[in-house]
Amino acid sequence: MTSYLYKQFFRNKAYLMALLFLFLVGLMAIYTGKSFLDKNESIITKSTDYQKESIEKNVSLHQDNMGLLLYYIKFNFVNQTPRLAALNIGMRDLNPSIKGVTIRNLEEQKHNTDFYSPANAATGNFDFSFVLVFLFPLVVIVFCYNLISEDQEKGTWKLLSVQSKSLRQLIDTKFLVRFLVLNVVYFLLLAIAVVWIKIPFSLHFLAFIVSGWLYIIFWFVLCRWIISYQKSSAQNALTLVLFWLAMNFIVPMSANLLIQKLYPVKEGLRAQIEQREGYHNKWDEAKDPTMERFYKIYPQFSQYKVDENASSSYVWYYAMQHMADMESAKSARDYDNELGKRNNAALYLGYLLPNIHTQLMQSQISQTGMENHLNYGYALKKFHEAKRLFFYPLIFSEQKANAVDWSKQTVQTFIAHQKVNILQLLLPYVCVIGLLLFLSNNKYKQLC
Amino acid sequence: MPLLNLRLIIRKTRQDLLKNKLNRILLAMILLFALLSIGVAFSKYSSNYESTEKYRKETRENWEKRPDKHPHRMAHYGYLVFRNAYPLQIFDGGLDNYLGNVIFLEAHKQNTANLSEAGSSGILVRFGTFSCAFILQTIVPIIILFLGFGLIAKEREDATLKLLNIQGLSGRTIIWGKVIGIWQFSLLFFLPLIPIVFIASAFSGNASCGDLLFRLTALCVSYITFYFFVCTLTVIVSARSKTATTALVTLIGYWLLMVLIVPKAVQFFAQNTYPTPSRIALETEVEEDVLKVGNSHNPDDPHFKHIKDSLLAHYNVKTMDELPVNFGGIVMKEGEKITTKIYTDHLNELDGKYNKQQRLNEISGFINPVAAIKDFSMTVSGTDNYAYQKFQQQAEQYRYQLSQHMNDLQIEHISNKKSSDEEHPAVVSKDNWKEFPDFK
Repeated sequence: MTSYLYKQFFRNKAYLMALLFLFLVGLMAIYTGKSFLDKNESIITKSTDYQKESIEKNVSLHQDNMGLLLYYIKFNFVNQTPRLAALNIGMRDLNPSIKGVTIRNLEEQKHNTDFYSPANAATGNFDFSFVLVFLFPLVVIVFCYNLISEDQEKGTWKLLSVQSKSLRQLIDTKFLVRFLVLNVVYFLLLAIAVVWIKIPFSLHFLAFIVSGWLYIIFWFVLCRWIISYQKSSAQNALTLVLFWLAMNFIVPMSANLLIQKLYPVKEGLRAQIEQREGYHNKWDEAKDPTMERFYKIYPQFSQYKVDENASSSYVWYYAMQHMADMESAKSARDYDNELGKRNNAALYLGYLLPNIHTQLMQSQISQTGMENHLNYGYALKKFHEAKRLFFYPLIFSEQKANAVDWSKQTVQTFIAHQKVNILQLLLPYVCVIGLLLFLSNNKYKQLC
Repeated sequence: MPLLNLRLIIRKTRQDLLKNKLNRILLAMILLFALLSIGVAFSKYSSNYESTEKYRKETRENWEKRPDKHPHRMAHYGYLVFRNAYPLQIFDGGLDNYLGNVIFLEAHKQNTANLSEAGSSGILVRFGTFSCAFILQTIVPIIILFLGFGLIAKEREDATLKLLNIQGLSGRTIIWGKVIGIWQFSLLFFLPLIPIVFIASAFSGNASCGDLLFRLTALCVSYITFYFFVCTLTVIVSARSKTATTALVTLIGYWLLMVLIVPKAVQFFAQNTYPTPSRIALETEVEEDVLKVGNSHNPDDPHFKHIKDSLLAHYNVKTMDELPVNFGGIVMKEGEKITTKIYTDHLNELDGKYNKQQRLNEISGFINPVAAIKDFSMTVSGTDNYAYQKFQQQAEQYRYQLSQHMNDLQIEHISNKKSSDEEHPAVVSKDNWKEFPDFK
């Protein structure tokens, strides 16, 4: 019987078209991911050369003035992009994966973005996660909306109920056929991605695959529940599309509007004003208080005294720069906290809605989400401090440029160690799938 | 007689839709959702407006209360400009989420507009943000399809279509009657919102009523036309389908094409046809081009050495210290002119590429009414990329004026001799800061 059901499935031209369509958009999505990764990699590779050239040029120009030299030199810090990011680009198109900073105040530099077209950003990336979250469900709906109602409308339902031993088994086998066929497309696309993008096998990738797979199961189970009410085909299609519409558009979009309203991020602008005042005011104030605060933070530099009447001093200059970061620190921290709160609100919403959960979890696994953005921000701060602490004593003791081995000043990379919390990942899926199975089983009992 | 029949069918279609209880609930819900989104957007807009105005004022006050300073310090102190959207943002957020909200303007350097709402949000922002325009562009069309898929197909299934035919109604009259009937009903989703949008945006107090009225009229016309398209599509598909179910499935397919598939595909091709450089690549190119013209930091650079020689000749003096104007200021003024020109050229080229990508999108509007209404609505609401580019250009112009004004002050008032003595400190009076106008 099963083989007959397969034949029946493949005879339907609409089904084959849907599968072909899904496969093609899947390929387009993988291509998008691949070209994103390539562009990203070429930026990072080039930046190594740029940094080397820029150091050489500046060193030759400011041989004798370490303070001025470090005013110019930018140190690049890369946020490592895992290969998996090709499947879920997440926010990586908006948040640059490489930032160049000088040892002047960080607050002014850290928000600098790459160029991007707002129109493209608003349309969103055509990545694999998009295809999975938005388009796979539609094909599931096309496959399943009339599994019961078609026979009822054609008048063959009565015939089936007389001839088959168990109607429930028959319907479930039909579901299984569709699920297996869709699995072929899902895993075929992933296999192509593995070969094309060279994604290494890892726990992360496995978690990515499983979350997508469970998401597809969720949609089949949802369809099974909806059609168990035995309404007409048109009504089933309508209900399922409404579910899809509400889950993918209405709920997340309204949630977004509310989240932006509830957690405003004014602190970001606040910090910009504070860092600017924090630094520039110091030019017009006495040098002593600035230096006292600086020595308090870094007692190891208290030997480098600054004469109150000195017309200029790099010790004083970099102390002033540092005050900008100190005085905007609170606002900057508040801003980061607000970002965290926004993300947590979305995570909680994801526990209820598998599509949001899938998108958030896959971006977390691929290190393209907010967690990674914040961690990279903290790492950038540490990187900036390490650079400062390395160069401060050299500047303060007025060394010449050749006191530094510049070949060691290469581009550095932040490697995030994103842990996968299996329970947090799987539990929401298991719960909602279990609930829907329970509900639909109740209905199917009445069916036979 | 045919006209009378047409009127009859229009009336009948409209009244049937209106009388249905479910339709009324649907209508009420959509209007409620739209009102809620206008409400939330209004309060968000006002609080954003308030805080940016506060920061803008603070920036100005801080600027004016700077003490006597060397003008070049002021050029580096620079200015912060904040973006405020046009109040119709309440209606259509457009690209607003993805636009930077603050630019730091300083000498020698063009900074990007930073801290966009999307940059400050998690992944969820990729699902989009709710707005009244989204409901009208995406949700209402699918509701029209749901309401209208059976208009003719159902009559055919129930064999009432034949009855109508027998009574002397031509196919054309039936189709037009149904189209106009459902179209009139669909306007109920939209027209009641217009006065509310008008009041809300007028209340935010950032635009003149005349301008708002003009823009809202344009919006009205465009949405009314858009719904006419959607209604016609619905009825035609309904007429060509054998059963109501096929009509529904086909219509959902069309909706998906218009809302999701075509825009994504167009974007995919636009990005691959007109690839854009990264910031780091563009800045390196700019740097190389600048070095080709002359390096203002290198005292032996031929370009700047030439300026020095001609200045000495012009004032008929032998050494720099004798010059009546500040040489450093002149060098920086020339340097600013060169770098700004080169940078702006590169940036214009980039904007050109973005605009070409956008053009493809606009062209797709000829076959995809959803893309057309989206673009138009955004443009009228002042939340599209052109409005944003204008803001960036104004900011850049202001930055240039500010830098060059400070350079002029330096040229006129600062001595060439390095003086750290008490009598002639190398500063200009703080009155100069007040004289420099605010942004916009």
